[in-house]
Amino acid sequence: MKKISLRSLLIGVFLILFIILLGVFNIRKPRILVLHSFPKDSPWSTLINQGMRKALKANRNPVSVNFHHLGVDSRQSTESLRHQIQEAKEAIEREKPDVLIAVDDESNHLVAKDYAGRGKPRIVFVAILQPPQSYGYTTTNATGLVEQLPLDAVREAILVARGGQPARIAILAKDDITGRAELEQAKSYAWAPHRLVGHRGENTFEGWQGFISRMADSADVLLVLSYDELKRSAGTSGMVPRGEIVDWIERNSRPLPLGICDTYVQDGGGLSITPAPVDFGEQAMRLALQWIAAGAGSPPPPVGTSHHFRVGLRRRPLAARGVTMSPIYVETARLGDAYFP
Amino acid sequence: MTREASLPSLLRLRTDALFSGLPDGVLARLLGALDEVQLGPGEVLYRHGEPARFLYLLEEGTLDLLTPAGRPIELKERRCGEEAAVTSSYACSAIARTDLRVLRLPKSALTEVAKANPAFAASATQALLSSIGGESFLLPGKAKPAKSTQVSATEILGWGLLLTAPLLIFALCGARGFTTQAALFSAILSAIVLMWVFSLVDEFIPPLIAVVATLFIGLAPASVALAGFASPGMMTLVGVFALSAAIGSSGLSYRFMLWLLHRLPDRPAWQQSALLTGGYLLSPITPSGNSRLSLLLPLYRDMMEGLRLPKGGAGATALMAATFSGAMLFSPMLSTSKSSNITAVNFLPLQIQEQFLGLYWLVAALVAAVGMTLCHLAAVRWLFPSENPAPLPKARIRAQLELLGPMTSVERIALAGFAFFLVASASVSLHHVPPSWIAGIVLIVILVSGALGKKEFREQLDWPMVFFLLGMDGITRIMEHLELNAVLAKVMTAWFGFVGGNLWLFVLAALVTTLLVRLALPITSGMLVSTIILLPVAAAQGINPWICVFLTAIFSDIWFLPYQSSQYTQVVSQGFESHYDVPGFMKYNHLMNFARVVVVFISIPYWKWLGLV
Repeated sequence: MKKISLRSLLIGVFLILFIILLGVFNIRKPRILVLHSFPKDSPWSTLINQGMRKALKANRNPVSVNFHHLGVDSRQSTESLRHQIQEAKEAIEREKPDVLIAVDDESNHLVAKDYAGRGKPRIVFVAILQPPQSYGYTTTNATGLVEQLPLDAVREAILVARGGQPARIAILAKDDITGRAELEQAKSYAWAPHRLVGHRGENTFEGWQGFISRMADSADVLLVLSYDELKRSAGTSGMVPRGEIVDWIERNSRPLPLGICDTYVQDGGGLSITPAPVDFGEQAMRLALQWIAAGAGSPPPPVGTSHHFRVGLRRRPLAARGVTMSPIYVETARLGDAYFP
Repeated sequence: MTREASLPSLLRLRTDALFSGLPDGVLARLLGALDEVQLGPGEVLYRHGEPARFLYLLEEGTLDLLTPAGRPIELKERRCGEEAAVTSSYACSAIARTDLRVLRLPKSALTEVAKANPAFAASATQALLSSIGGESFLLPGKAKPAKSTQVSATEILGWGLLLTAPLLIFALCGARGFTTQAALFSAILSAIVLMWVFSLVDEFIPPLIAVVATLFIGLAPASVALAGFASPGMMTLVGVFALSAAIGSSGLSYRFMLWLLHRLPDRPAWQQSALLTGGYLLSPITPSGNSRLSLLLPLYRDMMEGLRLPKGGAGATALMAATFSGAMLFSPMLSTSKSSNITAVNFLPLQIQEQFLGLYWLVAALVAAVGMTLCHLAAVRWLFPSENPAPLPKARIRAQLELLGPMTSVERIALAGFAFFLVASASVSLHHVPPSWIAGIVLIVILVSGALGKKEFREQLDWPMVFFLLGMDGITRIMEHLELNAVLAKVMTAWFGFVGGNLWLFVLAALVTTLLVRLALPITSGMLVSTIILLPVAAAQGINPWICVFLTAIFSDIWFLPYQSSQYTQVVSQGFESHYDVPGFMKYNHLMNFARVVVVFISIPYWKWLGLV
């Protein structure tokens, strides 16, 4: 056997130590797992991630971040949902994250709440419409951001759109976890001087069309909540494209439609006042990094909410209804890249 | 009939004088190509004039080797067919006299061996001559001695420190309340400085280690750590290095050197001045010492050859001093002759920027520029006295020039590329195309026109140097990303209360700061970090900020250890170290370091006269 020279030995020891140290550091580096409720390509997830990347760009502490999408879909079977929940839990077991960021009510309800109070992973919930307590979260085992629909801003925008006249309001939502929670917030809001005249939680486009027709004479404004993945009718499984839904609403709704869902104006709608997903993502990631920097065993930062909202405007459908928003709305929409002349 | 060679064939290879000196790795490859042939008496192994496809090693039996005229040759080495290793056809015929068992090696395998071991082709020619001459004079080859395994005490100390110091620094930084990222990068930086200081690996490797380690642990994203590889600087480097390679390989630099020697008075001072002035002239338009040096080095090499200067002699060292100083001395004298000068100007107040962006920088640095040139001339005269060489044979040079004839097309392309680069770089204010893209165009012209082929592009470009410079760029960007520059500036600014507005003391503070920073950082980032540290001090103490920038520019060019100067590393990596006397050159460098300090102090009264103080 050839003799190993001292130089080779020293080089070998250095390389082994170098690789081991880097490896150990990487293994011990704090890990964050982001658990999205919706698929990777959904606009909401994309915008949340955009905000998270913004926070990560400003971060200088080495941290490993991975993403998992639960991919909740209103058409899926119970069996398929169970499988996806299992996959998400396996991802958590595999990644062993220090912090689990669970986005939206679905991921918190179906997965994250089972880890509450375990110590690891620490939980940061984002954009939940239900109170944190409903998932078993307390001030000691979780933190995060509660989603408040920007209803104050919506109330004011309705007054501006109607030249200061109070309106009769109808609300249309989906009948799923998010939709029900959104509807609950909107229903319990004090709308005065406006008046709530009707609301509906429905998972089919057919059902939405029926409700809009029924409200033709009894409402002045139609608040459109999340409308992603609506089935065409009860007996079918195919989804109606978002653009088609918005286009139909804008053409057929006698009450002025106002979207409270981020893609509404992008999909062809005239006016939207929506929560700001980018801000949710940015704040959530900052909370997670702040909690990690505080060290293991430290209490979670206080629960917060995002006070930001986005305004979206499309001039043509509004003009067709004779609605003119004040310049401040136009400029706000323009600054947020959500103004379509 | 043929069959695959058996393992004992290795013994046959090892005992043959032609193959016994080859390394084991090469023998292993040959063994894979070896096969066995058996022939009966009278069967022909090969005939004169046939393509030489195999070399044969006789295992059993005998054969007759006949010249084309039929003269029998006695085989001394039990080997024949060496033509396969050196030429295209057999010179003799080989016919089995008895039952014959031979091992044969194909021409392709022998060609590969000759490619990797140039001495093999010479040995094979000698073996062929032996065979035909019937007299063996090929000495059995000796296996190359293994690389020296002696490890010096300094190297052991270096490795010992490398294995412990970064960990200690990490722990110390952690205990001092540094952020994790600052502690980690400090540890990485200390490791690469140790590698350089103790020469544990080639100079270009440590920056790559730092970049890879940073990426591995997620200290900085690839967009930061590898930004240099996607920067205009990458294009400049490759373009200028390719131009330099084309100038050298086309023979243009040799022709120019002959022309210079023919035209210039036959005095070493004139020859050295030609290189020094060449570098000075390149300085305003080529804001990189490395680029300037890569354009001057081919000229240095050819001039050494033309003057027949002995390697390691005073003449060769003086010429190298002139080449190096030509590329470097003017760096701090103009705003455009160093990339960090251009960056540092942006740190200055707007009205001072406007004042110094043009020629006024040179006016303000005039005393230093003249002083440095005089110091260089004096240092060369003192350290490398003229060797009294034989007079230059002008008639021979003229004959050489005549032999070269008119310029070849490749030379013309290289010259056109060089002229285009100079003119376009000097007229950026007219066409607004940055020098990097000009270098890119030059690169394309050189490659498309074939002035630099694929092989030359691979072999003649100093790729380790490109990686070294881009790795250093990565380290600078990582420091900025981690905001360590600002932290360093904050810590050091607190120490400068003693200056009290006194320019003489400020010069000393700038000298110490820049030298300390330069222990760990390369020239460009070393200058910028020093500027960041010193500018607030200068502003607070009423010292002209341009003087602060100039001081960091000139002091950052000071270096004591090779790793501190990427330009010197470039000289070494291109194999020029063997051309000059290294201790003599280092002595010259230390004198020039001292001169930099002296000319700054001499400049102070001049700056007062100009109203800068």
